[in-house]
Amino acid sequence: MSSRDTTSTDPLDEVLAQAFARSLDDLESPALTERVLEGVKREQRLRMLVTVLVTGLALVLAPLLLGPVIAPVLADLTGALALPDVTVPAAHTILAVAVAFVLAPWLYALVEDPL
Amino acid sequence: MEQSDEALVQQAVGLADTEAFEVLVRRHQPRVLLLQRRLARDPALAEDLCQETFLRAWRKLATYDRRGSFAGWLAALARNVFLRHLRRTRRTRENEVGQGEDEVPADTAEGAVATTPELLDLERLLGAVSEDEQILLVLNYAHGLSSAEIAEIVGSKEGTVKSQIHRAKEKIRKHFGIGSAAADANAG
Repeated sequence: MSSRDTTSTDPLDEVLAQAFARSLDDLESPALTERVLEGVKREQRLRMLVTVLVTGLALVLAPLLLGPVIAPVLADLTGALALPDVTVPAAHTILAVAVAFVLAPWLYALVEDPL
Repeated sequence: MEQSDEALVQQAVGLADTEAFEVLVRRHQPRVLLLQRRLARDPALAEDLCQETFLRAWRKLATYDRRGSFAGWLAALARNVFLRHLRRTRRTRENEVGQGEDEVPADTAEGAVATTPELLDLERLLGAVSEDEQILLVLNYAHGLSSAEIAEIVGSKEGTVKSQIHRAKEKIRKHFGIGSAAADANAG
């Protein structure tokens, strides 16, 4: 990992290397490491929850939204198919679908960092 | 045998292995904290920024392309986290006070250096050089980065970084009366 010239015979290099090594030893903080790892695990759980939520919503709501589009096309193609009348979803269903689609990227943005 | 950083990254990304990432965190936490302390000049804030650095590293681990060392990638990320914090702080203050770009945040102001006992030796040594030079020395000595890697992180030229590090070392040498290898050879 180290790209610094470690074969130097300069006494200053030795002094600096020792001072940095001592500081790094002192800065080792198990509590901070734990905080970091807790954060990582929390974020992983949140990410999983969002994925499950969004996938579930998509699976449930997509047929409702796409049904009215696909059904007439299929009926035209097959002609003879005795499909039931297409049911247009109620306004609140469409609204729920729209909200879910709008919220999905926002939910992802909560756990996805743009840096 | 100790696994390399690169192998651990591959494990953490491919298998979403938090244990591999844990090893990386334990290995690099002191270096990142030291860098954030030099940048933020506030021990409590440095801890928060250190935590933020590793969280972002976890999110962005798949983007590490192995062109440089993992330590260099992490140091660049740490610096970005600090700069982002600085921009956010400045924006908030500008909104609150209505002051311009010239304002220096209090936590980065001269004289607010953390002089905790465990850092006294290093503090004394680094006290002889400018803030920018301190960062270069931290990246060089603590993170083990080459001048080329440091140049990429700080957005400068390799030759410039080399001469800045040399100048910083000469300042420390002069300030503390530490002889050079050549001088010692001549003396002996």
